[in-house]
Amino acid sequence: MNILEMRGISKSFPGVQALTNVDLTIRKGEVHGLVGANGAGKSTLMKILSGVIQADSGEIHFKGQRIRLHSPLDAQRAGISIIHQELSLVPTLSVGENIFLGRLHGKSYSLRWKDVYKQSRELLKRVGSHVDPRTLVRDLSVAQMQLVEVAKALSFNADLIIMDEPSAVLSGADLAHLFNTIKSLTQQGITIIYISHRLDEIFQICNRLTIMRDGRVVDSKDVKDVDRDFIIRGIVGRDLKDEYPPRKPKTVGEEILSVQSLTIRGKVHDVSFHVRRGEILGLAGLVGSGRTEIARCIFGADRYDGGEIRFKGRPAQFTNPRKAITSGVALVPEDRKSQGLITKFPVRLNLTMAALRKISRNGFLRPRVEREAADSLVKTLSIKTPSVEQIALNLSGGNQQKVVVGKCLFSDAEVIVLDEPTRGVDVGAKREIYDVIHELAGQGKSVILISSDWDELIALSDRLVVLHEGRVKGELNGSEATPDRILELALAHERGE
Amino acid sequence: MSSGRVLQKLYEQKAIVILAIIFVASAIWVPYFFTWQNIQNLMIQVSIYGIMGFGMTFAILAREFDLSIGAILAFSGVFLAQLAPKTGMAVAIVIVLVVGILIGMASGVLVGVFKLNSFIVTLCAMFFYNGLALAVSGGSPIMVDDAFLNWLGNGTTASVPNLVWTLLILFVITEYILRRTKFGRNVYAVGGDEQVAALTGISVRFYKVAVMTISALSATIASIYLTGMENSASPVEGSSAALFVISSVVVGGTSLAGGEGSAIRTVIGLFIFGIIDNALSLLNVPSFDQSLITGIMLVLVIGWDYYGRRRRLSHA
Ligand SMILES: Nc1ncnc2c1ncn2[C@@H]1O[C@H](COP(=O)(O)OP(=O)(O)OP(=O)(O)O)[C@@H](O)[C@H]1O
Ligand SMILES: [Mg+2]
Repeated sequence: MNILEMRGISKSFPGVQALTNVDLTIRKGEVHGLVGANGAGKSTLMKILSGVIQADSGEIHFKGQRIRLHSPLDAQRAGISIIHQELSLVPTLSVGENIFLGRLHGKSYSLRWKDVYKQSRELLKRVGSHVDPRTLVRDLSVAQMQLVEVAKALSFNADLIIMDEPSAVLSGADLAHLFNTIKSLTQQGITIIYISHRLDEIFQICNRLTIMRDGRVVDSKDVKDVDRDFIIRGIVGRDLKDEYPPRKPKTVGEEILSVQSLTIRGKVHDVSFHVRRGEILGLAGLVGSGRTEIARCIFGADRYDGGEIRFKGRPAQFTNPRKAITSGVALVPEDRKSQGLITKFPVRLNLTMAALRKISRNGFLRPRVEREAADSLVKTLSIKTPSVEQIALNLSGGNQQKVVVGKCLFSDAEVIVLDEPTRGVDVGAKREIYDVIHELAGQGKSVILISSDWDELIALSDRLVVLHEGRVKGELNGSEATPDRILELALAHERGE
Repeated sequence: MSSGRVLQKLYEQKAIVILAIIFVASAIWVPYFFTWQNIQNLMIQVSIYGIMGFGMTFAILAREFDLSIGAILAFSGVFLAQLAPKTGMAVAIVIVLVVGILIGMASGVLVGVFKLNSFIVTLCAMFFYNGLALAVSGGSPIMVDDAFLNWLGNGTTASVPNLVWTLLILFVITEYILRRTKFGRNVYAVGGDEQVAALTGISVRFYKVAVMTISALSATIASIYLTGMENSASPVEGSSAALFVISSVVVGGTSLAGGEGSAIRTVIGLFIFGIIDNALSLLNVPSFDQSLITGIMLVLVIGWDYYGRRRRLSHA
C-alpha cells in the first residue's frame, strides 16, 4: 500500500529550476532511500513534503487523501515530520524543551514541566536514547543530538519521518545505533524517507530507493535489484571508474608539523604525532575521540593545557587562527553553517575571505581578480550555483560544503587540516575533492584528514593515527589499514590490553 | 538586467522606493519644497547627521552600536570652543580630532577586547561625555568667532555649501572603503558572523575597535562643522542625534544583525527622515505632531522592510 504519492512536483527559485515534474511513491512501513548529487533537489522535495516551502505545481496524496501543505504545521498535523539536513535544535535549551519547542503550554498557558519531561523521557526511550531530558542540548554529542531530533519528530505522532542526511557525521557505534532506532520505528509502523550520500547505508537499511539528478527522478527501484555501480551511475549520470584515486607510491619530505604530548583537560591526553611534507595523515576515531579538539588546537582556535605544537622545527605560537593562517596552516572546520560560512554572504565573498591578500593590492580589492578567482574555484570543485553572487544559504548542503573546502584551498596553506571535508558531498564531487587533496600532497603540502567515513580515510591516508577517548592508540600504514584494524586498535584497552 | 529583475531589486530595496514617493509627494503638495533654496537647506539639515551616519554605518555593519555620538558631538564642540582661544584654531582642531579618536578607541577596547556589549558601553559613554561637556563649558553655550570655522559651516564652494561637499566626499570615501578595500570587506565579515570571521583569520578585536573609533571620529568631525555653522558650541547639543542617526541607517536598509548594508543606504535613510522633517516644517506642523508623524512613518518603513526580508528568508 502506498502511504505517499507526490505527483508532478515542480519548483523553481530565482535562476534555478530545482525540481521538474517529480513523482515519488512511498510504501507504508518501508525505509525509502533518496539519493542524488548535490543540488539534485532532494532537500527541496522534502521541504515541500514537510510544508516548509510550497511547490509551484504538483499534488501530494498522503494516506489516500490529497493534502495541501501551507506550513510545517499542516504537515505535522497530517503526520509528516522532518529532520532537517542541518541540525535545528536550540543549544541553550534543554532536550525536553527542544522536543516540545513551540508547544510548551497546556490549556491554561502555564508550563507543565513535569509532563514535558515525562513525555520526553518516553520518546527518548523509543529511540533508544538515555539522555536526561533536562540536559542542555549544547552538552550533547552530535550523535545524541541526532537522536533527540528523531524523538522530536516522533513527538508529532508522525506516520512518516523524513531524515535528511542524518548520518553525515556519525560512524561506528553511533551509526549502528541510529539504524537500530530506524528499524524499531518501522516495526512500530512508521515509514521513513532516508537521504544519504553514503551508499553502503542504503543497502543496509533501505527497502527501496529513488535516485534524483538535476531536479528529476531518474529511477525508483527495490534495493535488492540494484548494485552500487547502478546507483552511482544514476547519481552522477556517467560511470565513475573509481570512487577513490589510486594510491601512488610517493616520497614524503621532512617533518613540518608535530604535536607533542598535547593535553586538553578532560578531552585529550598526551597525544603526539607528526606530519611530513607531501603526506596525508589521517586521524581515525569515533566521535568523542578528540580529533576535532586536536585540529582546533593546531589551528590556534582553542587553548590547550599541556604539550607543544611545533611548526617547521620551532614552537608554533598559534594563539589565534590568524597567526596559524599567516604561518600557512588552514582548517576546514567541522560545522559549515556556524564555523565555515557566512551564510548570508554571496559565494564569492565566502570563497575569498580567507585570503584577501591574493585579490588585493595595498589593501585595495581588485574586483576582476576576485571574480575570476571565485569562478575558477567554483569550477574546480564543481560547485552548483547559478553564479558566484548567489547567497551561500541558498546553495544545497553539499555545495555549501564545497564552498568551505574552496575557501580553505584559496588560502594556499602548507598544512591543511580537513575536519570532515566531504560531509554531505555526493560521490562524484567527493572524488573531485579527493583529487584535490592528492594534488595538494603532490605539491608538497601536508594534509591532516579527519573523517568519520573510514573507507575514505583509509583510501586517502598515507598514515593513520588511531585515537580513542583522547589518546593515541596506535598508528597504521595507509595500505595496511582496514576498518576492523582501526576499531581493534581503538578499543584495545577495553579488553584490558 | 530585465525589467522583471529591476522590479525585484526595487522590491527588495524598499527604502529607495519610499524615498522617491516621499520626495515626489513633497514636491507636488508642499509649497516651496521643490525650490533650489529649500533643497539646499534640506541638504544642510541632513549634513551634520549624515557625517555621523557614515561613522555609524561602520559600527552597525560590524554588528555594534553607538549611542554616544550625540554626547561626543556636544563635548567635542565645547572642548574646541574652549581650546581655540588658547592654542589657535588649527591646533585646536587637531587636538579635538585626536581626542575624538581616543574616545572611540576607549569604547572600542571595552567592546572589542573586553567583549562588553556596545549598547551598554556607549550608553555609559553618553552620560560620561554629556557630563564632561557640561563641566568643560560651565553649562552654557560658548561663542566661537573664527573665520575658517564659519566658512566651513556656512560658506560655499562653486555655489554649493561646503557642508554638502563634505557630505559628498565622506560618502564617496565610505562607500569606497566598504566596497573596495580589505578593511571594508573584513568589517562586513566581522558583522556577518564573528565566529566564522575569527576562524578565517580576521582579527575581530581589531575591527571592533576600529569601527567604534570611526564612529566617534565622525561625531568629532561633525562637531567642528556644527560649531562653525552656529558660531557657537552648546553642551546640550545632539541629545537626539544617536537615535536619529541610528534610525536613518536602519531605515536605509543596513541591518542591525550586521554584515549587510552600505553608505548609499545610509544616505537614503537620512533623506527619508530629512524630507519628512523639512516638509512638515514647511507645512507648519507643530513640532510635537512632527515627532508623532515621524514615529509612525518609522514604524511603517521598518515594518514593511522587515516583512519583505522575512518573506525573502522564509523561502530560503
Ligand atoms: N532558497 C533557495 N534559493 C535559491 N536556490 C535554492 C534555494 N534552495 C535550494 N536552491 C537550489 O535548488 C537546488 C536543489 O537544492 P537541494 O538543497 O534540494 O539539493 P539536495 O539534493 O538536497 O543537495 P545536497 O545533497 O547537497 O544536500 C540547488 O541547485 C540549490 O542551489
Ligand atoms: Mg540537501
